[in-house]
Amino acid sequence: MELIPILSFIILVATISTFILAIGAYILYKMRERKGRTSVMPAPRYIEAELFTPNQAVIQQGGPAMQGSPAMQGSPAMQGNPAMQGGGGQVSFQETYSRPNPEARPSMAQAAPAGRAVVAQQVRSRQQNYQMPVENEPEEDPTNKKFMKYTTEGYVPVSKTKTGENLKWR
Amino acid sequence: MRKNKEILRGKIILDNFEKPHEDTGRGNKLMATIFSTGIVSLLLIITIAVTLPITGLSYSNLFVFSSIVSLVIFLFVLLFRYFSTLIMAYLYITKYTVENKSDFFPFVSIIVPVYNEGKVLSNSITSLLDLDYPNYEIIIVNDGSTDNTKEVGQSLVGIHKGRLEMVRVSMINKPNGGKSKALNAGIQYSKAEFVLCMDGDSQLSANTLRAGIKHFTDPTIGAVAGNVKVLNRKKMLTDLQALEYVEGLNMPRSAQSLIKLVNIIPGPVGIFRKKAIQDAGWYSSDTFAEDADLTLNIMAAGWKIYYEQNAISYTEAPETLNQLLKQRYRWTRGILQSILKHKRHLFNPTLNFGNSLVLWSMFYEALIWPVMNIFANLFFIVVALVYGMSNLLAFWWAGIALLDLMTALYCVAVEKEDIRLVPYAFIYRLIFILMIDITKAMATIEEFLGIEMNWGKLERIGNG
Repeated sequence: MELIPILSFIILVATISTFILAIGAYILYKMRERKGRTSVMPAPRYIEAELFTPNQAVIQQGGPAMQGSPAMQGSPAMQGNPAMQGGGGQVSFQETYSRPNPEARPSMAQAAPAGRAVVAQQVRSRQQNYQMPVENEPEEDPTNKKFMKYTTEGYVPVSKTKTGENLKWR
Repeated sequence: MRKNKEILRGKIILDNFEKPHEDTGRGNKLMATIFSTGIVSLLLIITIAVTLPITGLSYSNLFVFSSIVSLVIFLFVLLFRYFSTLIMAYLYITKYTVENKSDFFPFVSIIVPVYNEGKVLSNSITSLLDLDYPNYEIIIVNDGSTDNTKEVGQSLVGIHKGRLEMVRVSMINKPNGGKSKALNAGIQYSKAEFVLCMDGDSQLSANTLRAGIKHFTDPTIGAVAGNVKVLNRKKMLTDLQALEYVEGLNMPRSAQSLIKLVNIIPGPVGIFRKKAIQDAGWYSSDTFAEDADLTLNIMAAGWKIYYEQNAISYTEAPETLNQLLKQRYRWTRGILQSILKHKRHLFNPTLNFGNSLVLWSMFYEALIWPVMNIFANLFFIVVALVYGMSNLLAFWWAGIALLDLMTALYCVAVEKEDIRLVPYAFIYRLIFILMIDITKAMATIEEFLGIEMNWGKLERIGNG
């Protein structure tokens, strides 16, 4: 038996079947799509969204522009403000939301490999021109960290040791 | 990780970037097109009927001659397309290999738009926390999901330990408005100069940001397109798509990157200079391919686009034929809509030559090539069934399969992909591409007839 006629026959059948299959699938798709058709409402110019962000981020990122009162946000004057366009939606924080079940969160934190610490150090030194919008570690008032006093209880902020006392110049 | 449990809930007012709907009289335009096309076709038939006796040819001879001429043209175009893409892709990879770009670590916001991605969202965020990059945040944008996406997303909000540094994860819950609006919401909220836009079901490789962001040291680069790979393999249909992604999508992107004119920044991974997005007029929702539309707008604004093969995003590919064809139908119509939106650039290369070049190549890939492929296959069926020249089919298939095999080998070697994909080259063009091309042709006809369509939603499996 010759190979080429058999191969040609297989290819012919495959090509015709592909045509039939593709057209059939297309017709089926159109029939399904027709069933689920819905009308589309026009979208508004501005939308109100809900933001969930870590507490720390607000301290770092939320400048004065982001702390407008909720009453301000609905005002047409605010909405027409061109400064709003091009980034930085108007944010107002209403409440602190505590995660109802923190244990439910998947544990994604992975220990950074030891070798990575060196890379991170190199990277940090190259970041001089770029300010990090969020610094992750500091959470207390930065003024408290400037001056620490060493006591038997370890390092304590200076402000805590000066209760009821005034500084005296000597 | 202190205060990690405390999440602040706030309100945010976002510009929806909704353009007023313009009634452009599409119905009248369509009728005029159909009428003029009919007149031209009639004139052509009359001309053939009148001039044929002068040439001395019969109608059957005319069919044979025109078929041979068409076939020769098709073969020429096919070979030119293959080899020009291969050579340009080779030059790109050579240049890429010898180039030594310095590291660059600006702050980047990763925008993750999600709609009913509850099953896969955790995997996506896990992959993002493992990025080998020191300076980024993650913003999840829930586009009014109806499943448990909101709860899953909320459980992920916080300060997490990343591979190199702590990573902040925030979430925006907005009413449903589509992917483009969700991305715009995230980009608006971001304060970073650079944003990475991805799909909620995609997972990034650890090197993605580090590899992609370094190209922005060139101030003309407005965006970097990433490399999309299929996550759910080991099935024939998804394996064929995996081959298509490396051979049919990534290789042309490498070729286009040689001239820094990548025509589509894929939805699963694209890094943008925020200024370029602003210049392009943000993501728009008036087409079904918002990524193609934004890419064309960025190029029209004068920015260059690069392709980074090491910025890899793994995405779930459709597992059933119906889902696949639905996806391709939407892509084709979206691309055609984007091209038509930029028809000013299509017909006037003096506005931006690069943009016109890209638009013509997209037009060719979306419309001309599929039609040529379908006609070539139909021709061989007719020749085999009517004229009994079925042997021709085997030679035709052998030639095409050889070309595909060669390209598949090259692409698999360059991308260090799974060698298992190479044998699929034997049926890739004959069955898979033909099926896709038929869908493309149907979508094209529907687009030009102005038939309405709606967004399909791929049912996620949640593996990987």
